[in-house]
Amino acid sequence: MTEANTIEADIREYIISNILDNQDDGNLTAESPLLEWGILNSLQILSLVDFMETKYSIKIEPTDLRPQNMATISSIAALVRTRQG
Amino acid sequence: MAATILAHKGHSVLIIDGAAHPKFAIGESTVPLTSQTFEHLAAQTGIPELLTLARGPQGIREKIGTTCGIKRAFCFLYHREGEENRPEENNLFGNVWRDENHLYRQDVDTYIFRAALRYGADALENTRVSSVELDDDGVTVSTVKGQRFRARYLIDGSGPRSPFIKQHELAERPTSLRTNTRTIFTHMTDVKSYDDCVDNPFSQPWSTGTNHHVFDGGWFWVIAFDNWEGATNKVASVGLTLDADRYPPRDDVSPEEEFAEFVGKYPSIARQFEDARAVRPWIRAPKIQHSSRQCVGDRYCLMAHSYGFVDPLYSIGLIMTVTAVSKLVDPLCKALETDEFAREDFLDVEKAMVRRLRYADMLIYGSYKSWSNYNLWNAWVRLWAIGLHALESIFASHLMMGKYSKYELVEDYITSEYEPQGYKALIEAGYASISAYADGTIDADACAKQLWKLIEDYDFEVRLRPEPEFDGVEWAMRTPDVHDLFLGVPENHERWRKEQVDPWIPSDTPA
Repeated sequence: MTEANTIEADIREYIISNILDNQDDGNLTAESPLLEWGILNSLQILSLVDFMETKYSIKIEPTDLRPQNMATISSIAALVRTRQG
Repeated sequence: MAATILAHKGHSVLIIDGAAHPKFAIGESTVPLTSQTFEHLAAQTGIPELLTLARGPQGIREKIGTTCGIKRAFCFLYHREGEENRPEENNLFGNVWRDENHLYRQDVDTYIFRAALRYGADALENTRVSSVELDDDGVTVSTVKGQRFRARYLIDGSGPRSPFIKQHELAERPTSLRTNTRTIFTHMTDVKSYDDCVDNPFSQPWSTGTNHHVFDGGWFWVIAFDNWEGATNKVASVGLTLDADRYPPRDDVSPEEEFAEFVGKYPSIARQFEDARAVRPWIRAPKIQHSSRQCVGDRYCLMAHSYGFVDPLYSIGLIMTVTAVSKLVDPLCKALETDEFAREDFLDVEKAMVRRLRYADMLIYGSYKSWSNYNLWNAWVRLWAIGLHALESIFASHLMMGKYSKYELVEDYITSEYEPQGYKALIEAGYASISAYADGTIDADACAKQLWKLIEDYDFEVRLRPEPEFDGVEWAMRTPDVHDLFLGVPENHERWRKEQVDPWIPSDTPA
């Protein structure tokens, strides 16, 4: 698994465990629309940010928290990679 | 700022400025709402310089320099003439979400101005405008140097003495604003940290917030630029604003003497200023309120400070400016494409300015009236805080979630489409009470009782901190003996969950 895929897998696992109460029906993919489906709300985004900052030792700024960055697991992973420099 | 955005979009822009950058300006204190509006503008336009401002102290240090200060809280310190400041008559409001700014405007404004030039705007500094003519096809601006410029649209940011407003008789005379205040201000060095002048049992140092020393008849501001490790700017912005009905303008003393006279009445404030020296000339304005008959017209828009101003209290002026730009950008860019510049297409800007100015007037008028009695002020200030915290939460949700935010925008708002649904009714009821007090219909105790009842009955539709570990904010906001309303301290929330007031409040303090 590449590093990029690892990040996406980590985020997916976090969402399934902490937001979806381990209810994984296999439909959650890297491109699933998290905001549109109501999987993430603003409070859950903040928890996810805490997780990513701790896990990857990065700093995510409030100005990073835009719908386009939070839309999918893939876009969240892209944000992590940007902040990793 | 508007010039920077328009130039970035490739439009032809000419900035005409009566002075030259870097130049002194007040409007130095931001609130989260200011930074959120910068953030919205940055997303709207894709301009990195606006993102710098949205990123708060971190962004400013990286891109502009170390001359700006931080703002972690609003500190309201209540004073009685001839007496020491009592901790139990102070109020602190703040949020740990991110630090805000004490903007050293000459550096920040220059940064944005230079960005405008880099994106292709032309600028004429030290150039005064003599007349502005409007016609069906455009605007002709003439300068005192005899130059003439033709444009398709005019944005007037020249303030209350605007030659355009004067020539076209746009000023509302007399102003309908009820607040009537005057001010004296400058920048000073060697202003002490207020933490060195009084005991501070609150959770945050006074020095990391904006100091508002309020008293019956007026208030002082102290905005430190050197309140963080690594700061290089040793000056502070200081000012005194007075109820002009109670303290009419004077010409028998200099502004500096008058400032010192008021400082001398309040022992705790006097200690903060005992070594302070002005580093630039004092400015004294005999009346600071002004308003205009309209904000937009065919082919022109008055920027916030040209349209109207109430008072520096609550840092509303800068929010209005950023909001005006944010509301103007889209319709103006569309007009520049279609070449149609009808007033009707810009009414959203006017709606925002009219409502924010009126809200500022209500809030500030009420504040001056409430300073006659601490219990009354303690209730009144919460009407502002309740709105500000909820508004920031809803705005944050929209910034983060976009169209998927669960909060609906309010059309008939009192200050912003991001305010909570019941806020307008709360403010209008509170304003009716404070007006009754001002008119002598009810006394201060009765008015305070009415305000506390309104707060008690208010439905907090938006939880001010939604996380379970931060429960208790609503109870604290409703409770007179909770004065330390810094929302980011877990110990505060633990106490509020148990419905315990600030532990250092004397037991005989009247509720």
